[in-house]
Amino acid sequence: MKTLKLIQTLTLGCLMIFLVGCASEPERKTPPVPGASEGTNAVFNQPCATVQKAVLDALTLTGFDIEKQEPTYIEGSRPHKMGLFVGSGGETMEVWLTAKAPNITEVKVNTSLSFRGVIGQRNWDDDVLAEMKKTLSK
Amino acid sequence: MKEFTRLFGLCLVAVLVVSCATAMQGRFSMLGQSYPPKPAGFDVQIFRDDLPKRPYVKISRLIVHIERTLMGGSSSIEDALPELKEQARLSGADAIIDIQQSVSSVAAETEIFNVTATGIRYTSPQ
Repeated sequence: MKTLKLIQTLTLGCLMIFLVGCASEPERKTPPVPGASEGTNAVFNQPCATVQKAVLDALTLTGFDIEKQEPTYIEGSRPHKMGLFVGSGGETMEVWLTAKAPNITEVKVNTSLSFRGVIGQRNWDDDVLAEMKKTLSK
Repeated sequence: MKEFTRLFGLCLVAVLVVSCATAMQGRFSMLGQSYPPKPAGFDVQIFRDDLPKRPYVKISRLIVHIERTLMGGSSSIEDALPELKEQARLSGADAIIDIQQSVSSVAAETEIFNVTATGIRYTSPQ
């Protein structure tokens, strides 16, 4: 009887920790295909290399760990952080750069959410673009 | 019942402990040409309100990002300074100027604290 209670308590404890939001690898929902329907686009009057630097700065400022860094494609993910209620993190950000002219670069940003901890996740497209605008306007 | 209370308390403490997560990220990007990093232990100067008297050139943009969950308390510039100095050192900077900070929150229980600054390099000996 005592053992049963102990198992029940441990199960309850494990369930609580799981609900709070355990760490999990971010799951990519969208393939890195330019022109995909999801995401947010913006155009900057700057060369592609300058815009790429601004993307990297913007991802760091929004808490993304940069995982892939190519001249026209950048990918990062926000590490999971356990919180008392929902926690945060788990999003994956993909950014595609297209040079439309020597000083015109089109940017497409797309946030993908992962299944676990989804309650504490959000779309970071506008935040990343806002940080890029701040950097590039200096 | 006593055992249940003890175990429940233990679980609660465990949840509170893991809720105190803090994550810090630092980065620098060169504004122009690259410089070799300063040696480990190099004392990077910090100018918070004034500027250096010696001539200098701006060489790098420095970023420190700190995220803390509800139970981790608030971040301050003092928390970011060691990482800011490290990023400046890696970029080859002698000193840091233009320190700016901003605070925001995510999902009501995560605080985001960002610090940006400029790494500089003196152009003439002292």
